[in-house]
Amino acid sequence: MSRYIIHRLLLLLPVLLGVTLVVFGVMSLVPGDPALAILGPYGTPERLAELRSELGLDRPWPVRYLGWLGGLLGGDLGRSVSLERPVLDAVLGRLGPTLLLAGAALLLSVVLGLAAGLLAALRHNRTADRLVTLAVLLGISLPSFWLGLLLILLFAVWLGWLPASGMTTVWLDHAGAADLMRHLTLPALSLALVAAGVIGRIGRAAAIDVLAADHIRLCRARGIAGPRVLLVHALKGVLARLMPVIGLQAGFLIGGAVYIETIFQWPGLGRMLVDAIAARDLLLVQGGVLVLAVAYVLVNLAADLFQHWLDPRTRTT
Amino acid sequence: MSFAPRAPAIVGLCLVLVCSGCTRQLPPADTLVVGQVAEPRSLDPQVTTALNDFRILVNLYEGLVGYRSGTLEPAPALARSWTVSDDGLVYDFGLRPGVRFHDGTPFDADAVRFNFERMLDPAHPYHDTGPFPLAFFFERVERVEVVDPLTVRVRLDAPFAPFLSNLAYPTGLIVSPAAVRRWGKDFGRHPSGTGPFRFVDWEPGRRVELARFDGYPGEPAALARLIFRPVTDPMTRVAELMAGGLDLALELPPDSVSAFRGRRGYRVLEATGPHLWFLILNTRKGPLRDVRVRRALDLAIDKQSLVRDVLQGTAEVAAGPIPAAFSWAAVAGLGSAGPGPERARALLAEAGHPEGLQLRLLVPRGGSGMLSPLAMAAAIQGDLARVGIDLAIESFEWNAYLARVNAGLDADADLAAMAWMTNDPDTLPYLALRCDALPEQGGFNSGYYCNPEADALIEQARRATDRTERARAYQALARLVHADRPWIIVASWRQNLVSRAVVRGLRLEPSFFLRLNHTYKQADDAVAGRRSEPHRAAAR
Repeated sequence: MSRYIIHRLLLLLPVLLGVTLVVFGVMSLVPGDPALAILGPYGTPERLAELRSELGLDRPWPVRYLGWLGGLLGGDLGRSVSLERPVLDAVLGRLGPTLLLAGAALLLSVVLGLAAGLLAALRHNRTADRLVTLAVLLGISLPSFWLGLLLILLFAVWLGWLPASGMTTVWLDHAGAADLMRHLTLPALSLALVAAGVIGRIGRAAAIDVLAADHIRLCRARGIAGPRVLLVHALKGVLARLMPVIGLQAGFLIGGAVYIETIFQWPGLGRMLVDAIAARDLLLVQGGVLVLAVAYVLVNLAADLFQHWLDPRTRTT
Repeated sequence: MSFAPRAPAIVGLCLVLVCSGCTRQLPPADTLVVGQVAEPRSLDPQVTTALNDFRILVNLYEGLVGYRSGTLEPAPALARSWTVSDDGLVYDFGLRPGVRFHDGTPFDADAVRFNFERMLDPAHPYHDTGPFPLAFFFERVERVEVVDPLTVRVRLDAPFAPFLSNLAYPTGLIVSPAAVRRWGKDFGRHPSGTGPFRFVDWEPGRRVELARFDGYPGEPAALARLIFRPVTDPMTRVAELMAGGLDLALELPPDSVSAFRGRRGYRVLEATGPHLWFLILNTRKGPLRDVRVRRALDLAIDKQSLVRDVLQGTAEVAAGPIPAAFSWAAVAGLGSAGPGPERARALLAEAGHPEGLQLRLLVPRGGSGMLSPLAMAAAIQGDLARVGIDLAIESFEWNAYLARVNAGLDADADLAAMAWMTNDPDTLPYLALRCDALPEQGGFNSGYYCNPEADALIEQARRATDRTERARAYQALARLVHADRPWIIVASWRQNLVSRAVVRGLRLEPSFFLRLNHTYKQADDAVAGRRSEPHRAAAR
């Protein structure tokens, strides 16, 4: 098992090298640069050239990339020109909120998706199944940013129950966990619904299979109570089938947070990346993408390991 | 034991926990929460170039010179008075005594010299705290001398009339030398000035907090705290304002401003700024070399309708190259005859295009001060179609657009949309209308307009030490440019701010900065319930 983990972690290296190389190359091909973004209409060729050399943008991109890699080995991700601070500080400061939001959304989507899938499977081809299937279809097809706006309108503007955006109440000096939960509810819900739809849909199919399996029928034949069969025996089988999907969804949640973070002004990595791309802040984009790529790979690794633990049959591979 | 009946109970409990205290929460009475359009870049006034950051900076810092309220005219600030030598080369500033920076160190002539030298002298020990992108505002400064602790002398290498307006711009705000020495390159995150508010805290992506500075020598600020929140999505800014999470929000979309006009509990403030939205015409290549065609285009475009229907009153019709906000230098009533499609068709026929012609317009999809460029372009396309001109529109992302247009219009581009915010009437004509400002010479004259008479007027206004003489030169320039039509000048942006009605003592300046030292909150039901009243800044 530990050999497997080490193997997967080693694979991370070429992935990251590839990702950062692509980001560097693409960002260098996109027209415009930070000097232009900073000077705006004042950017004469002479002033642009001067600012570019002060910002170290006048060297060819492969040279800058190698320099950046060298810095990375020493734990230095460079300095962001659009935020005027070290990239590492900026990225780490934004990582926590993104993980919190994506984590909450993942938990919600697994709970909602599994509940929907199990319910639909138990009431296979009956009214409840059709209703759940319809709801799941809606969850998959509604764009999360649009749903987010509707939720803001309903719960923040009309009802006034929950805050419209942000992570904490800005005028409180020591906002507590309750304040954080109030701010987390709407963005986590809007982010979770799509993933919940996917999990619910695949969960339904998995649950129908599992409920028809021999060992479940045996349990039932021996008179074990329905809920116990469902929660102890069937759920484990369904979860094992769902783990790769949940792992993929976790990756999408981290990436999909870009829209939701913008709408809800969540101070996370996604929103920072959008701003960084608009400002052509190459090193900040690079740092953010690097951290997201690591998170993506690690989350999928964790999902695989969890699946091995749940389903002994996959352990031999 | 059954699971099912418990589920609703658990869900219910979670909802109760989340909604505990589920009542609308409003900012306290001594705190103002401002919804900004972006995360600030830096709070170092010499480093940043963003209007978004300037709105925080003018509350933290003061310059030698500021703007007289409601105008764009230089007025005393940290300098109580000044004199200018007859040749326009030597400025003596008498400084206000007893002023201290937020860090406790005194403000004096040495501090002023430090500020200029940090920006302008590459050998200065703290020049590496830059780069300082707008340092060229002060490129005419030859030397800064300390005459005595409260007198500072600035020598220019050539007469430069915009010097005082440039000092009033945020690039001229005075920072604490001690704080720069202490924080170095991180000064922009630990700012210290002499303004009515001092810096408390900056949580990236969440807020910048300022508190009233008790050592301020002038009238103390009415509010105890200011909180600037970045809310980049305009729809979220609107929602937050309605949900009570913001006391005021800036730069709302035209549709939303219309919705807040006349809505109970809110107030809409507007001020027209020193801004121009115009079309650059290619005077070097293609059919627009002919001034008759350029005039025909100008006559065909219905600017009133653009401003009223597309921009929904968030801009005003503009005519000359000097924005109307510079009331002393602008010419009123230029081109006020309105659109004339008949005359436009006649001019086109006279210029040899009786069957009409095909033109290509470049526009950005967004960008600083560009208002709603795609909607504007579509409306202009419709106006021109009525006189037989087939206008093709090509759109670009903002940075790519700047790179393309600043390099000069080539044979494939007849027109390009552009917008400028300036702080002196000199800036735009000097950078974008002179024969010596063509793109190949490093200027912004992307349409290649060249008229030696215009150059002479720009130079004369720049060197004049007398304001009446300057004004006469700018007015002559405006008439000349109107006759030559190198640009079709369409609109000046009217900035908007929507606040909750409890917020009082607020004034929008034509500079678009937001000084909040006289702002306070009045939690009076009569005020909160009153209909919002459009309130416009005086300088128009």
